Amino acid sequence: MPVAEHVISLSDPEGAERAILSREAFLHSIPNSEIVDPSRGLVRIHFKVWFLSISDVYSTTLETTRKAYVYHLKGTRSRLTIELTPEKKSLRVVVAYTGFLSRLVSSYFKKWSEELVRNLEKIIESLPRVKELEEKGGIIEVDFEDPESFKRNLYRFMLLRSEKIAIGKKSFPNVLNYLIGEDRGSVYYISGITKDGSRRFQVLVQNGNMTSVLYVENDRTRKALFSKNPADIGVILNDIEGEFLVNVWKKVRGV
Amino acid sequence: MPIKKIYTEAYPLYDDGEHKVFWLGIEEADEEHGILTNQYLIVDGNEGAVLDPGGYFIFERVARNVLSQIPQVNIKYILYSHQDPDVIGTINLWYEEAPMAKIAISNLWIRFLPHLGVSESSRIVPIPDKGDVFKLGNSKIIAVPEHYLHSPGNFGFYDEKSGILFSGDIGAAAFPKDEWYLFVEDFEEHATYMEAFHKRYMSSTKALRAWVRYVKKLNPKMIAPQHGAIFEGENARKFLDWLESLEVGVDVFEKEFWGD
Repeated sequence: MPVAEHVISLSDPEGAERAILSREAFLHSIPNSEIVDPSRGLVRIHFKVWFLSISDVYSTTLETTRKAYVYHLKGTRSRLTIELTPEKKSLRVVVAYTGFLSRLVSSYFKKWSEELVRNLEKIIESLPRVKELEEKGGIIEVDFEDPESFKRNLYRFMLLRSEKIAIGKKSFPNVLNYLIGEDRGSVYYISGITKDGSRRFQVLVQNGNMTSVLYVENDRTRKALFSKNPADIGVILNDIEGEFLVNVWKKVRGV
Repeated sequence: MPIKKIYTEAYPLYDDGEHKVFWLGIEEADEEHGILTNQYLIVDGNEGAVLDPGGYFIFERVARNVLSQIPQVNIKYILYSHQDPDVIGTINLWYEEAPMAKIAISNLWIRFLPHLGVSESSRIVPIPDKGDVFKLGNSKIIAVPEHYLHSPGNFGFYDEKSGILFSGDIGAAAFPKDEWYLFVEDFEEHATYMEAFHKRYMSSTKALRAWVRYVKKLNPKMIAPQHGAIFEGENARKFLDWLESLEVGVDVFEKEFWGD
């Protein structure tokens, strides 16, 4: 049975735990996979072994024990277990595979699990840093699905830029750097819409961290709030793609 | 006629299939203190222009009625007659609501826009003093100078296809409590609701008469102000004649304000 163990060092253990609890974020971290049905946690994983490509569709369940979080991926011919144990400043990740052609898979498994851990690290790193936000007056969030309430608050913001920007897949962090520069001490509201209106996004950025996001793509609405599903923030932002008219607002008045 | 929550939907003023003009409803927002505001939408083909969308208290109704007629990305212009809060107060919200729109206002007021939460210039179209022409679909909207009537940087907007002149504060009326109508029927009675406003708010008789001469050449079929009721046909002509005979502003109040 192929087993691999890894340790991720953490600057924000609380944030990491929030990331682990998001099934959608977890599914996005699995290498060589495609999500078949996000609502049911169905994912197809391909293991490439020499000239073979072994694939299986897995259903995902999360088990929470006293010390660890365990994702069980049950396929038709194989099973994967991913155990995530938060420690003081680190996260221990143990990955195990049982079932079809496990001997063959073992040769490829270490590389695959390393990539899984790297992807998890990226998601954890993209999360807002809880302590940093709390020290600066608490976390500010907006439910963008209640647009009227947000618009009533827009008078606290100053529109700084309004311009067309092409955003590539997974490049939103770079776009954010371009839009707000090195300013990590302010609150920004950033919105974007494509010319045909089929895709639009709204993001709240606090001290360089994204705390609220909404993305509508062809009538499919996805949203995430830091307090509820923080790991989904990065996942959703990664999917923003296209040429958008982007408005950048900076908070200029008190709460 | 009591108006509370009655006329909250868009109402067509003109429709030839391709070119449409809507009045965007009305509501008695307590914050408007009885001086109710009119907002308008012009649509030609798949492009739209919103005129004087107004202040915060009415934003939700105006936005809903605009978006019931045209997708937000097809709004090409937001046209402002002048800088009063009940005209321009929600400019920041319209940047979001109409993300592809150019925002047009007199060149005089551009430097004041940061006070309304807008500190970017790429979407602003400063209207020069002599006016401008805005192309909307296959139609044209002419920015007609209305300076000193009442604002020193003021424009009306003449929609060539429909023949409707959107006159800003010229033609404004303050209705008595519990009275309201959309179209002027009895001009003489309606003039009594307009007189005090025009005498005090319009600053120059000379400017007013120059504007009337200009507008008579345009010969609008309809004059639609930002407050009060709409003048149609014969009443539009009566309104222009009435203005021509009116003394306003400093010409009326010079002695009262400054003595001899």
